[in-house]
Amino acid sequence: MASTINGERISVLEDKCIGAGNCVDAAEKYFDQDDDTAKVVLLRDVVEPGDGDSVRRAVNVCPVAAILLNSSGA
Amino acid sequence: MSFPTSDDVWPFARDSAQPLLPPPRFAELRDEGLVEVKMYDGAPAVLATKYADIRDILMSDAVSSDGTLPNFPYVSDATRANRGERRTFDRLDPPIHDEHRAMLASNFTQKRIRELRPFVEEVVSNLLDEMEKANGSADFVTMFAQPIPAQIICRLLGLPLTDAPFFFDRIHIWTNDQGNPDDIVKATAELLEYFDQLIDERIGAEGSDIITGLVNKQLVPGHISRPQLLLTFHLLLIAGFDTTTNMIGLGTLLLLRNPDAWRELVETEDPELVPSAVEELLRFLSVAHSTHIRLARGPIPVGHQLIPAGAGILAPQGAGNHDPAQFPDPDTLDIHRDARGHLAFGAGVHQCLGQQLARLELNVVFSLLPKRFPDLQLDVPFDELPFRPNSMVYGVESMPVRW
Repeated sequence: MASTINGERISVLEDKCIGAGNCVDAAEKYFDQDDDTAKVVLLRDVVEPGDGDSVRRAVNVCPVAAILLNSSGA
Repeated sequence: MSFPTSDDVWPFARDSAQPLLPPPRFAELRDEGLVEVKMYDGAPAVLATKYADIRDILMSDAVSSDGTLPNFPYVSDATRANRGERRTFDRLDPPIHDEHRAMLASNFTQKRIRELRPFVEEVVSNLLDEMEKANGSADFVTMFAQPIPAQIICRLLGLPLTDAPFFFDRIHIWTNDQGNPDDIVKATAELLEYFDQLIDERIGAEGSDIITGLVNKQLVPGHISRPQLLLTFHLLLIAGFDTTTNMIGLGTLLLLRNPDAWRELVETEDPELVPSAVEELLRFLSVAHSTHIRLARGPIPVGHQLIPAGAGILAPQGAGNHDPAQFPDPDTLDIHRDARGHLAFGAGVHQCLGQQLARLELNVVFSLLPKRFPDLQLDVPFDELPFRPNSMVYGVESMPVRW
């Protein structure tokens, strides 16, 4: 497993999402919300260098664990 | 149950010398892990006091908020009366919960809430202007902490501000966890009757407010029943009025008790400091001190233990938010710490729907208030303040201040 999450892939479980919006606050570059359903919209799915902390924060502040990180090649 | 049994009866009392902290018993029990305590009627319930355990419980797929299930724990006859049969969606489990919550969610997205900032700033600025005219002293709660959320939620729901005193009165009766059950039932009936009449007025009406939207987009096409919609309005009203009021009041009080932090907010030019301070105030105060009661629908893994199906559960956010394993030196206010990830809004599917609105209101308050009233101070001794230990949301009844 890589020591940083750069290059890891983000996926979201839309069915689980309750639209709390915390991920948008944590990592706006990666997450938005649908205007009508409030559900998460993934803007890009590969963590870029330097963004590890904010993406990890988005994972942690999601109240229903709807954001997943997979290290590349896993 | 296989957990250590304690003679403690829930809820625990706060230390009267430290009324802004959660009950000290949390810290004493935390090393025990999960413990079994008694409810007021002698029923057992499993209490969690560690951050990680509370989060596991609240986020579990097997945890239920359905107060009509057998063995669901209650703290008093009053809470049975106000929450027992009342199936607002905060008391429903998925998938029905998710359907009802989803009808509201688009009103509370980050984008929608950010668009409200100028309006919230105007509300807060106007109230600060009013306070300035008050000749150097005022009751902070009635003059400032109450009117902010009242004006904002009335605007969002499309309710006349002139009805706010009626709402406050009935909400105060409803949220008293040790109140008279008959009074609580009556207060609820009056609020529901108010909303029932309102629905008739709003059918076919034009308007961008939440109530008009729900009536015409959800009720009229048959996506929600009229009784269920009434309960949703009831929940929005209670949640919108009471919680943020108490955070503004107690948050200001906590800052005044920590003059270095207050001074920093008076002097700061750093746009990141207020958001950080707001998260820390939310963590420290955890005002929603009675929204943590659950039942295990199935077995719930918690750390290396398992809460068995059918067990009543207490997962108080204030205990998790003062767990030193998660927040070092938890009883010290540190507006620079990274408090995000706190449990003040709960966790799991019931995490507060209005949390981004609450954050916005608190951010505007703690951006503007310290700079406008840098010399704000309590006008009575701290130990004479009337706290609300029995209220569903913790707060202070009144808070005389001067400047």
